[in-house]
Formats: sequence, C-alpha cells, structure tokens
Amino acid sequence: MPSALPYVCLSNIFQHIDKDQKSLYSCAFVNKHWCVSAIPELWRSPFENHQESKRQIALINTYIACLPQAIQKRLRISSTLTQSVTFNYPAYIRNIPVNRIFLSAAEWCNSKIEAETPRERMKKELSKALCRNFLGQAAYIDCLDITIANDFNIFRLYGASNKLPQIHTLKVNNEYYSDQFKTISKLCQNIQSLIISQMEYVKPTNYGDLVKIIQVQPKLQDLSIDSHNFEGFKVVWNGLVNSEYAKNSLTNLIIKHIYF
Amino acid sequence: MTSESSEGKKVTLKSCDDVEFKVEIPVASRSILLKNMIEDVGETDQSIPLPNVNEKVLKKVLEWCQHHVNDPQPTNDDDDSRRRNTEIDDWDQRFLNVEQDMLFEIILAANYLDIKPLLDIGCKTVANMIKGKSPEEIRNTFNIVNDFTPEEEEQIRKENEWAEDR
Repeated sequence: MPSALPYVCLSNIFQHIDKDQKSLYSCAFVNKHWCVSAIPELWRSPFENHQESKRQIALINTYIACLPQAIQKRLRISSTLTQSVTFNYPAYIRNIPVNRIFLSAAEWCNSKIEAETPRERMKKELSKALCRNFLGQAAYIDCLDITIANDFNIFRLYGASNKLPQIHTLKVNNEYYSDQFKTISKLCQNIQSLIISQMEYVKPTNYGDLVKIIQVQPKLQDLSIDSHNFEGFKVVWNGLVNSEYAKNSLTNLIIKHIYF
Repeated sequence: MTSESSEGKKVTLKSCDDVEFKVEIPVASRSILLKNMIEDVGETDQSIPLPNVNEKVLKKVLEWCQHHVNDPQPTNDDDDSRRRNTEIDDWDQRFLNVEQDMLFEIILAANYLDIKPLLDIGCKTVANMIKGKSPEEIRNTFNIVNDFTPEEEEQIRKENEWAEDR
C-alpha cells in the first residue's frame, strides 16, 4: 500500500525525517518509487554535517558527474562515475554554504589532482563551477551561508540574480567583497532568518550597509547577532529599533557575546 | 443511509460507495477542496460526490474535522516551520492508531481533500515508523517489493556513497 502513495505524500513523509540522513538513505533503496521521492530530500543540504574527508570527496565526485561535459573538459576534471548519473542531483540543493562547498571541493582536489597542477586555482574554479551549477539547476534556494566565503563572490555568478532573491535564511559575517552588503539588501528581501556572526570583523564603514540588510526585510522573524564589538552592535541595534518592518515581523532575537 | 452531525448549516457529502453524510459547513470546510466548492456553489441541496473516498475513511476523516473544527486554518506557512514541528498531540496519536491500510487511506484522503494538518500528522506517523530502519526492514514493515535490478541499485549506491552509513 505505501508503495502506491503518490509522490507528494511520500515526499511529505520524507520531509519529516529530513534530519535523519541514515533513514533517508534507507528510503532511497526501498524501491524505485520511494527512491524518486527520497533522493530530493537526501540531497537538500548535503554539505551539512560532513566533516569526514571521504564523504566530502564522494559528494563532490557525484556533483562533478552532474557538471556539463564542456565544464568538466575545461577544468580538466572527471568523476569516477563512468555511467551517466541517475538523477540531476544539483537540482535538489536548497542550502548553499559557500565556504563548505569550497572546503569539500578542496578535499576533492587534494585527493584527485596531481600535485604539480595549480591546485589552489583549481579549488576555486571547481567550487565556482559547482555553485554556478547549483544556481542554474536548483528550482529555488532557501538558505545561503556566506560566512568566511572569501574565495569568490557568489553574487557575481550567473544565476545569482534569479535564485538568490528567494532565500529566506542568510548567514553572513564579514563583507569580503566591496558592495556585497549593498547587493544583498537590493537583491534579497525575502529573508525570514538572518544570522550575523563575528560582527567584530565587519569594518565600521560597512555597519550602515549591514543595517540596511535588516531594514529592507518585511518578513524578518529571526535575527541572531554575534558580536564582540559593542560599537558595531549599537549601530545595528539602533537600526533595528528604527526599522518599520522589524517592529511587526520580528519574533525571535538572539544576541551573543555582547558585553554592555 | 445517512449519517448526521449536529446543528448549523449543513452540506451533504457522498462517499464513493454512495453513503451520504450531512456535515456542518465549518466541519466540512477543514477541507480546502470542500471549502472552495461550498464557496463557489453556495447553498445547495445536492450532495457533493467524493469519488476517491469510501464511507469508512470519510467517516474517520470527518471525525478528525469535527474534533479540529475550531483550530485556526493553516496559513501558507513555509516548509521549514512544518519540518520543525515534529509533535503529534495525544488525541491525534490515538486517532491515528489504526491498521496500516487505514492510515494510508487517511493520508490519501487528506491529500485529495486538501486537509494539510491531517496530511501532515499522517505523514509524521509514517515517518516515525520508518526512522532507524534498513531498506529491508522498511520493505517488510510496509510489504513493499524491491524492483531495483542489482545494477541499478549499485549505481544509486555509488552516486550516494557520501550518505552511506558506515
């Protein structure tokens, strides 16, 4: 009987086990019908909780197989998967943690690329190609994490202006590229959850742009600010209390490491 | 055969096995499909046929709608808040303590009738039955036949190696 449940019902069932990767993995091997519904859930946030090098390499290996042949050729990389892949895995990603993607791509390069090739450039090029593919293939992106993402500016990639306005969770710390905060406040105005970490690294000249990100969000419900810098926090706080939107929308406020 | 509920304006629902249920409009309106139909058609003496739901299941679904008649209508809430909410209240747990076939019939009916909260608790109940099980255990629990060829299974395994439990 459950094998006869339509896709939408199975998909709903799997949404309720989305944090239990082991069980989701099992569901993918029950039969073909279950597999089709379980795979999108399994591949929703694959960069979360994977510190183990072997897993990161295996993940990137599958994603490389999903890159267009022309890109694989240009980067001179190939996956160990010889057959064409069963699913278009990049289409299912909803959470893009830029730095983690870079670190996983770096693990893959360290293990698969010969030492004499310029690995550092490869790591950057590969992670950019993967992100570009995610932006192109994913139906939508829910969550963007650009903390410590100083290897490339995701907002400059093709597809960013289409997919990133839909994000409802943003994790940010320093502004690694000039005008990135300005770009965010112009492009992303559907944010419901904003996590600002390590605010002490934000340049005082950029406080205003950070405040602007908060002030242009009509749906902001959760705000988390982690800052060892009281001056920066004060600017953000003043911006927050003067925000017309936040007065009505904000329901959770987390403040960490502020010493008054 | 007619099954009646209490007062107020009523609408008649007809199951696929031709059993009519007279139901108060607020109870029927827990179903977004019925709510929209009632709003579109207005008051009518004609029964609304539900070709996908039999008497036994419709009775059960209406029991849930009656119990939850005063709940706020679900908003178009985001995926995330639904994912975060893993609780099933005691009454709902007892309500869903039914044979497996009936549980899946309720899920299908909730999906067809567009009763999101009922669909969600039905799916959560099934999710709880899945958690921690191997593919073989899941197949045995739900009597599912594995239709993968060994080659297909091996290919999926290779592509999903990163998620394998080791």
